[in-house]
Amino acid sequence: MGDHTDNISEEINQILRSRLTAVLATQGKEGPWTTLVSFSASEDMTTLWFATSRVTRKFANLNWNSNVSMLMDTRTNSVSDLYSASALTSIGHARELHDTERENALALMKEQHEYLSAFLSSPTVAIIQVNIRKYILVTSFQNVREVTVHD
Amino acid sequence: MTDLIIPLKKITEAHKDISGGKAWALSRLLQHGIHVPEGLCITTHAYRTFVNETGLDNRILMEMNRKSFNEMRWEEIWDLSLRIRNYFLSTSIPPWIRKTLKEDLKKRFSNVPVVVRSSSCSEDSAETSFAGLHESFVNVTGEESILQSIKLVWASLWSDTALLYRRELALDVKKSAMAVVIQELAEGQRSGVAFSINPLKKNESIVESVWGLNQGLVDGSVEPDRWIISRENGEILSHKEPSLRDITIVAAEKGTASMKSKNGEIKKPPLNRDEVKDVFLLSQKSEEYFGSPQDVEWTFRNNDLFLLQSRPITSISGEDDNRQKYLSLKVSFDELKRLRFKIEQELLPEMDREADNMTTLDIQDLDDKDLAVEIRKRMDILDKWNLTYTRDFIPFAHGTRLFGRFYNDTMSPDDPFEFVLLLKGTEMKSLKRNNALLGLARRLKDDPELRGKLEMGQEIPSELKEQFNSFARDFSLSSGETLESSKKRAARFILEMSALSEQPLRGTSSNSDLYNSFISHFQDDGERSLALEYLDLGRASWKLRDDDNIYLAAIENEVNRAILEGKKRIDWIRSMPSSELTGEDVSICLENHNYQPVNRSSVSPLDNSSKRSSAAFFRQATGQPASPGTGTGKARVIRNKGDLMAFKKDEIIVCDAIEPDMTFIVPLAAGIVERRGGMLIHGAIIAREYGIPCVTGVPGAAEIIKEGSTVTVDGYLGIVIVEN
Repeated sequence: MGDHTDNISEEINQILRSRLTAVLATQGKEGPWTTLVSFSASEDMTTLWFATSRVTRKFANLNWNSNVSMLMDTRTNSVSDLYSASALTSIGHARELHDTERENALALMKEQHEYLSAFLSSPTVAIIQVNIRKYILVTSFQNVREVTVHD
Repeated sequence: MTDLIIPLKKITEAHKDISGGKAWALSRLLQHGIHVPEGLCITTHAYRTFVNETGLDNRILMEMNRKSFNEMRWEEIWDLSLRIRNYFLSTSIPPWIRKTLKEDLKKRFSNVPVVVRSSSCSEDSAETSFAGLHESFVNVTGEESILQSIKLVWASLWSDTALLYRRELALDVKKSAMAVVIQELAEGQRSGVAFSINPLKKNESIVESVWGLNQGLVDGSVEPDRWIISRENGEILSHKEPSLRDITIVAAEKGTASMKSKNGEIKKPPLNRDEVKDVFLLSQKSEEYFGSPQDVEWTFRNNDLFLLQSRPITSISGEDDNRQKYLSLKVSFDELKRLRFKIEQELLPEMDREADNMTTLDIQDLDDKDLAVEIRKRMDILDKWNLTYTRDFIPFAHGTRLFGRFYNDTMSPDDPFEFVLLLKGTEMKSLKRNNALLGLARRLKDDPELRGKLEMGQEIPSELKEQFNSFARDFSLSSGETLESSKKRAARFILEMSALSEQPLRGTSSNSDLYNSFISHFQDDGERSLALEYLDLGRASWKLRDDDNIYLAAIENEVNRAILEGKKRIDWIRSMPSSELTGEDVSICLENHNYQPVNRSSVSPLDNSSKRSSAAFFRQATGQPASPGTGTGKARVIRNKGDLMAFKKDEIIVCDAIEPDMTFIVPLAAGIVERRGGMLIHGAIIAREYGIPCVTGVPGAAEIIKEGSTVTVDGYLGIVIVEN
């Protein structure tokens, strides 16, 4: 994958479609907090969704500070990751979905993460939508490109 | 014995994949009764174990993947291979491998001089010949020296020439591995090569021979006697003697040395008719054994004929061998010394004379026809020097590289580019010119009245006026702007520069400690004087890398002066953008005022990189760390020479490539970012001289960095960070 060619959307899309989980970073009273979450992405890549129980620390953190960051990467836990893995950081604003919005997102998530359908169907689970402000893509160890989605 | 090291006579079919082409061929011939000096093969298994256990394999891959290989210029590939070579030099062989190799080497070669040769896996097959691309060491004695040579042969798998050749053949460098052959040095009195089939005529064979060792014949520095032999009946068809047999290569205390030939050898061919036939028969025997035409190296030691190596001939049809292109990247010490003499004693003085002649000619006195002739004459002169630049000046840059390798082999420094510290500080023309400019700026700072005069465009004292006018004139000629406008902009620029006047140059400290430590490494007078010769050559090459551009620019400016004069004379041209007219157009217009030139779109030479547009904002980009330090400032994107005078102190230069007539802005810069890559290119050299952080080889630098954005140049890591 070239680092300076005009295919950043394609590169981001490829990472979003190929990854099942992301590292979610939230901020709470006790400081930063990271967890793994299963996620889905909208076709236009402006929105990400994930699900969480309402009793989790991440959910509490989201109520405290709704700014989040999510990391998806292609590492394989080998040295070659340093030059061949890509890391996509997304920065955005999170909110819980309700009613129709929730139903639509839930359907999409169930389709993509069939194995989670029992979890997703639980009434205690919140569906969180992240509106992406910016993507930052790191390739070849030190090449960093940014794309602003929503100002 | 393990499969790390195997005697040639014990190599079997099972070892074919780990012995490499050369060792495999020698083992077959040896076991087939052909007279081959006995020896050992350090297998590819030893190479792989070494790079794997020391982590060198991953470090190499990190270097190789720093930037897309296809986006690298040759200079960057050379830098890359120097870094990798240094890794090999500074990485110790793990104790157990070392013990295994050392024991066998001691048993077989205790105090016996040997040759250490590459035997790479894909090497010497009929499809891909790597002959000459990897390294060999002749006359090495003692286990420690042999182990060091083995590491250098391993490293040569990653040499610039080998990397480029593999790229051309689309071979996967990650899968490359290298075996090494170590044989007793057969110190022959007569040596040579033989082609079992003449690549140009299939019913003939060729035997070539020189006195002494055949290194000179192989690298082209010694001309051989040459015999053509009929393959049918072994009759000698012709014998061509060399123009001179004045040089013989012999074994020195270490390595080889070229000596004046003995009197008896100068007049006499090294081989008699019977011996020519013996060599011919040896080549036929090798061909018969391998079933394909062979290129054989041989030597006579006390009348015993030894075969040194045999490999398939790759181009029977006489087609161009691409390998030659890459082999030409290797230039020997002796060739560089000859080249230096030619450049310093003949070419540069001639360039000076030619530029002077043009400067003194008053072109305003010429009539239109004579001016047209003068423009053409000057363009021809420039063409001639551009060719000389490619033919002689660019290859001389290898002097710097040769010293770099010599220094690294001697000192094994952590930083493979440490040697540059010993080269810098030599009086470069551009530095002298920039210092003169700084002197002028300093005067302005100390003299408010003078400053006021310059600001107002009033008369300034004659000794300063001359210097100021010359600066403005050069800028006018290279940018195409009028002299009047150039003067205004030059005044503004020098005023900007006066802010610098109290600051000492950052990169001009002396490097006497490094020099002393380098020189004290040589105990022997002969070795020390050779080291000084390498350093002297390196310094001359380093200085010329900058000066040659200045000499060329002086000629270029004179061509432009004549063309500008031509443009001024032709009224109707004034309504067209002058950049659209070539010198040839101007000449024709002067001869024929009705001539309508073809409208050409102008492309600035500074703006010739591939266009890159992207929705992405490049927050951080990777290049080569070309001058250490960090600097932050506003980006000034230089797209053409007219942009230079707008440069302000503490800005970051962002450009395609720093040309010699652009360097006057460098002392003002907080950092430099260039598309053109390399540690030893013009911009990098000047940046290091001034101690300004510089990153080169950033793809599309002038397109991905926007004018005015805040940029940080990290010259240690070779990265550029852009604030949004």
